[in-house]
Order: sequence, then C-alpha cells, then structure tokens
Amino acid sequence: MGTSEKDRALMKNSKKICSSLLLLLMTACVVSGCGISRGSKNKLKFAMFGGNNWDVAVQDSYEVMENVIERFERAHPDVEVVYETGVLKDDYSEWLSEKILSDDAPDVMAVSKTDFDRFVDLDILQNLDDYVNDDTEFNKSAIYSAALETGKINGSQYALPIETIPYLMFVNKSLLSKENIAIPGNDYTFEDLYDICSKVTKDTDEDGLLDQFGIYKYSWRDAAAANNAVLFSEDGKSCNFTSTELKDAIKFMNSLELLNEGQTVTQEMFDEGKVAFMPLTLAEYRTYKTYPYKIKKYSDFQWDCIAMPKGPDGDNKSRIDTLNIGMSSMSVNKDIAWEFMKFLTTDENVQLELYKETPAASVLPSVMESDEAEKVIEDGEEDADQLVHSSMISDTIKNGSAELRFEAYEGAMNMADSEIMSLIASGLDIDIDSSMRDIQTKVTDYINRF
Amino acid sequence: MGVAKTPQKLNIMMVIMYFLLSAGVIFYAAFFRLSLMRIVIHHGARSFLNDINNVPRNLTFSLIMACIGTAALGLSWILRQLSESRQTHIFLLIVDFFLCLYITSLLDYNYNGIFLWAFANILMYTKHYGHWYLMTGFGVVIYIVTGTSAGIMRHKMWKLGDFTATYPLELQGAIATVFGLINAASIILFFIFCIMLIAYKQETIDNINELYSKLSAANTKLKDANARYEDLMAENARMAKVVERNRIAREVHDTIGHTLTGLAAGLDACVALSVNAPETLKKQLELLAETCRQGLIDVRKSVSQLRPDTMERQSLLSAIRELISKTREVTGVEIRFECTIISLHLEEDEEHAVYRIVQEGITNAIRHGKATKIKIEMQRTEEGIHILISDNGEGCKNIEEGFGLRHMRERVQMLQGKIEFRSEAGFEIETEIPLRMGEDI
Repeated sequence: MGTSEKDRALMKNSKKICSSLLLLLMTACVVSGCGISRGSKNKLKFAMFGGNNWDVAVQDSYEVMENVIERFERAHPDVEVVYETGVLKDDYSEWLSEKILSDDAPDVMAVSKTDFDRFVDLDILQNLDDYVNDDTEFNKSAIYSAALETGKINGSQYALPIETIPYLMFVNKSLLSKENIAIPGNDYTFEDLYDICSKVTKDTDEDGLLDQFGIYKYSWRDAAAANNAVLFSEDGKSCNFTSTELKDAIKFMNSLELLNEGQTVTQEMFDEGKVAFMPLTLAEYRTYKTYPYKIKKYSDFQWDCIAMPKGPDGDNKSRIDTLNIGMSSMSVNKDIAWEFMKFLTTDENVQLELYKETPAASVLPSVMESDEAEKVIEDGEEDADQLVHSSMISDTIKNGSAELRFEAYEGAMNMADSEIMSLIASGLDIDIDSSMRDIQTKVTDYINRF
Repeated sequence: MGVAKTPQKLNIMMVIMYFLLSAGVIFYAAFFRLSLMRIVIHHGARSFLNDINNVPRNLTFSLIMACIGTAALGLSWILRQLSESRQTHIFLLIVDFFLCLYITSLLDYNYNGIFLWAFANILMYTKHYGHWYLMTGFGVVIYIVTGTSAGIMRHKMWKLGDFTATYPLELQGAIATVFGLINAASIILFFIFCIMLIAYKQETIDNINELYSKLSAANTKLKDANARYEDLMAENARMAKVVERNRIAREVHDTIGHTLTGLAAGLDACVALSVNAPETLKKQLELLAETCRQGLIDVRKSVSQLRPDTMERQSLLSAIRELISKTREVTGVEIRFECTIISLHLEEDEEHAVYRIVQEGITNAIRHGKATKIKIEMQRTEEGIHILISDNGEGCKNIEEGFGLRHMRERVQMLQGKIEFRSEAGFEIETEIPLRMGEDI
C-alpha cells in the first residue's frame, strides 16, 4: 500500500518535472520568437552608400532612389522600405559590417566589390539561385549577362546589378587630327592601335626626350580581355597563364611599352593633351563630357571615346564594372527583399531613371537601346559627330567581360599582376614561355591553398 | 530501484563544479558579447569580418540563453536530488545532455566544459542502471568532437582567438591566460570529482564487504546453534523415553503392586478360612477375583496412559475412600481415614500424586510392615495439603528407599513439596505438598 502511494507521488513528481521543462522550452521559444516578430512588420531595410560608386566627383541622386522606393511602396502597400543611406562609400564597408555584427543587417544592401567575396564566404549574403530560377517573372536574359555575371561566385548568384559601367577608350581627337590620323572605328585591332601609337610617339620639342605618347593606363588585363585570354576556370579551381592568347596580349603590351623608350607616361602628360589614348570608365566619360554634369576636365582639347581594341583572337571587349545589391541571409522578409531587388534591377522605368540620374549605364539592354536612353547621352552635347551613344555603350557592355569571382581571385590576380608587370618591365628579355610557366605554377600553388 | 543518497562531500564537490562550469559558460558568452560591442565601438567590424570564418550572431540572445540554460541544468540537478525514480533520473540526464549541447552550440563550440557536468552526472547517477559505460563512452566522443582541439567542427565557426585578436597585444596574453585557466580548472575539477567518486564507490564496496563478513560470522554461529539444538532435541527424545519408562514403571508398581499386595493378603486370609468357614472363604475368593479384575483394568489403563479408573470418575477424596474400603475388605486391615478437608479441587498431577502417595503408603504398610492398623490424616495448611500416614507395623531400623518410596519422593519433588519417612513404632510418611491453586476448603 505504502509503495503504490510512493509510486504515485513519484509519477506526479516526474509529471511536474516534465511540465516545468516544457514551460521553460516555451519561454525560450517566446523569447526567440519576439526577436523574429519584432522585425516582421514588413519593414524592409535597404542600405546604400551615399555619394557615388564610380569614383567620380558627382553625387548619385538620393532623390531618384527615394522616388523608386516610393513607387515600390505604392505597388506593395504592406511594405515599408527603410532607406538607410548617407554613409560615404569609403566608410560604407565598416558601417555595414557593424550593422551585421550588431544583428541589424539590412535586408537589401549595396555590396562593394571588396566585400562581396568575404560576405558570401561568411554566409552574410543570401544565395539567390532559387529565386533566380524559380521566379518566372524574373528574366535573366533581359539583363546584360556580363553584368549579371559579376553577382556570381562559384557559379551561384549572390547579388544583382543595378548599375553598370563599361571601360571605353578615351581618344584625344585634337592630337590625332594634328597628326592627321583618322579616329579608328569601333572594330579596330591591336595592330591599328599600335600603328597609331607608333605614329604619335615622338619628340615634338626636339629636346631628345619623347614628349608625345600613344597610350596611358592600358594594362595587360585590358589586353588579355581583348584577346579572349581565359585566365581561370569558372569555379576558380584552376588557372591558365600559358595560353597563346595571353602571351600575345603580353607581347602586345610589351611592344607598346617599347615605343616609350623607357620613359614613363604620367597623368599630368595626359591632362596636358600629350597622350592619344587612355581607358576611361563610362562614369568618367559622362561626368566630364555630358549633361547634367559636364565637369570641366580635359577641356583644352577635343576628345571622345571609342570601344576598346580587339586582339587577334578576341573581340572589342572591355572590362565592365557594376554596382550590385545583395540580400541578407538573416532577413526575415526574403520574399519582399527579392521583389525589391527585382524591381530595382529589372523594372525598365527604374532603370531608365537610374540611367538618367547617375553617371552609369542601365543593366537592361532594352533600356539602353531605347530612344529615350539615346537622348540621355545626346542631350546637351554640342559635338555633332559624337562617337558615344547609348547603343554603342550597350554593344560595349554586351561585349564586356566581368571579372571572375571566387575566393582566391583577388590574391591570385595581384600575384599575376606583379609577375607580369615585372616581366613586361624587363622587356621580355627572358623567354616568355618559361616565365609564363613560372607564373602558372605560382598562381596554381596559391589557388590550391583555398 | 532507489538510489543511495550521495554523500555530503560529493554533493559539495558537484555544487562547486556546477558553479565553476556555469561561470565558465557565462564568462565566455559575456566575453563574446562585450568584445563584439567593443569591436563595433572601435570601428573594427570590417577587419574582424576578414579574420573570422563565421559571423557571430545574436550574441545577446546567446548570453541570455546561456544563463537560462545553466540555470536549467542546476534545476535539473536539484530535481534529481529530490527524486528517487529511475525514469526521472534518466529523463533528466538526457535533458541535461541536450542542454549542454545547446549551450555549447551557443558558444559556437568554443567552450565545451559544460559537458563535463553532464558526464559527472552520468557517472554519478547511471552506475546503478547499467549501460553507464555506453553513455560515458558516447559522452567522451561528444566532448572530443565538440572540443576546440578536435578541429572536426572548426571550419565554419568563429573562434575565441578571433575575438582575442581584436584586443591590444598586451591584453591578449592576459585574456588567453584567463581562458586557459577556465579550461584547465574545468578539467581539473572534473578529475577531482572522478577521484572522489571512485573513492566513494570504494568506500561503499568496503562497507559492503565488512557487512558481508559480519553476516558470514552470524551465519556460522547460527549453524552451530542449530547443531546444538538438534543435539538437544535428541537428548530430549532420550529423556522423554526415560521419563516414559519411569512412568510405566511407576504405574506398574502402583497398580499391579497394590493389587498383588491386596491379593497376597486376601489369600493369606483364605488359607486361615479354608479350615472351618467355607462359606466365608467363598465370599473372600469372589472378592479377590474382583480385585484381580480391577487390577487388570488398572494395568491396561496405565499402559494407555490413562488415570486409574477410580480417579477418572470420582473426586480425589471419594477415590481415596473407595481405595480404603476396598483394601479393608480385601485385607481385613483396619484403616482410619481422618480428613478435615470437605472438598478439594486440585490439578490433575496434584490429585494423582496425593492418590498415589496414599495408595503407596497403604501398600507399603501391609506389604512390608505387616500392619493391622493404618491411620491416614489429611488436612489443609497455609501452603497446601498435609498428609500423615502411620501404621502399627514392624517398621525398620534403617529405611531403605525402594522403588515405591523413591517414586513417592520424586512425585512430591516434582510438585516442589516435601516428604519424610520415619520408622519408630511402625512406619510414618509425612508429606507437605504446596498447591498451585488451592482455593476452597
């Protein structure tokens, strides 16, 4: 009798224990649940740096983004977009990192190139593959593929481009006309460029030193892109620095270098109008050349831009740069965040507005090739035989090559850069094949460490 | 099923362990939280992100949950102390294990010392339930896997070192020392606990051994006692036989002896009568035959352990009177019975003894003393009953106690009474028998 009573008491006891633990668990759920529900009033935090992504002295319009957000909110009445901006580009990375570490990451954020790899590696950014593939409204092919490519790492989409800029070739029209050289067409080759450079490189004041040069700032990377040299596999697991394309590009760089007879071309010389060519971003072009900015620079001579030259095995391909936005992997409003990203990237009105109000280009060919876009560049341009048009920019972007994205990319590229620069500086005295094999080994070793 | 109460010393050790390990957990969690705040305040967030493998998230939540989690562990321990049910213990131990796993995950596996608490509890409580070695082995594997040194789970984790590295160099050493001390203290404490537990278990085993040896000794004694008891039983049986033999001898002597004495005296009378009184002789012979038959019945009864028939049917006094009148008729001896007692209720053995003493006294007077007059006095005294039997027989110079007298003495002694035999003029038997419940006179 006594034992059965005891058993019952024990059973009661263990029931009590169970229920108290259950209570504890529920409390924990509620506590953690509060954390989630606090952010879920369909508030969408959107972070964008103030100022400008393209290193030009103009302000990306705050107003245009405000307008865009207002339109988005009108289309989605249950959403309130909190636009966090004002931090300058230089401070943005630190500001954003602090937000992330304070568990206050914005749902949608502008991601600078330098942060992109790291943020993907740390799972700060959401993998967008499922959205890109499953959302039937989202048409990948409507976006410049090279621009879309910049948001990929190891073949997965982590960011979408909202603005892009191609590299153009600045041409000093005054200098060329003085030398009676016609401006090359947009399909000119390495050889054409070399011819012109060799013709303009001369000692005009006859002091025994060259004072007029062919090209400034053109790098082996530009040449490699133009000659279709593929340096890395898409996943970043292997590299190829021994291809003929790359060797030809380097040989071409070397030949241009030799024209200068060991003299170094400086920005100053270029500003004085003594250099015929220089790669220039679209942003710079628009800032210095077109309305509404038209900032006074290079105003002592006539200039314009053409496409980049093409190598014997390549195209008139130029590097492109983009401004990308990503989604926080910790966001509780991912679907809305995706809608907003999609809106910024693929809505033609948004893109046209951005094209009008910022010095960059739209990421949509349909926008760039529209009549309205054409007016953006032409408006306020006095030069009748202007070479740059929206459609020309569009072609350049279509031909553009985005830098590959993988973890070891930055380091591998820096390593290759210094090796190839010193190779070119040495004037290709050494056997180029064995040097490239050397570089191949070093870079392979480096990327294998990741 | 119940678990032996754990000794005070071990409990104190467990309390110390609990507080140190919990403090370790909370210290880690607080260090991470505060370090992150410091990083943000010093604008080192971006370079911190560069150095880590995983973004530490919700550290405030982790700190709170670490506190709640350790509190829950303490609660679970208290419940374990209160409860004696095996199911509750096992359930709580499992809960503990998952709590530890959760707490360790909150710290991103930077400190797994709290697992030592779970093991200590498993060691403490599951020894009684079997499979403890399985649980312990499993626990050790978990401990190693979740440990900072194993490197199995290190790929996408943030590390203590990442946080430490954000401090000025001169502080880093001190921080590393503090955490080293926490880790070392956790393990040392666990180690001490294990030693204490082993010592406790050994003590228990020693106690059990001691109890066992005591039990064996008691067992041996019990066996000896049993053997002695069996001997005693055999002896008792032997004694019972002897007693029974004596009884039969007494009965034979009392009944047959008495009858034969009567017969012998009667036959002597017949010899004298045969010359001139054939009619009286015939009567005398018929009386002797009757006495002979009565003696035969007495013998049968004695053999079947029954009391003489006279005693069975009558009170003691009437039985004695019958005995006297029969003897008088058979032997012609003059017997005077002087009794001051009107009625007497005695125990059976007392009645028996009184009757036999009277019978034996008469028999002896006739047989040995050749008496012609016998006087029997019987009265109640303070303590019991007083009997005096005297005759006018030959008596004897030296009283030799034969079978009859010895038996009389034995019977009286059995009743804590006194008996005296005297022989001056004739023979005298005087006895005093205390009565157990002599009431009415």
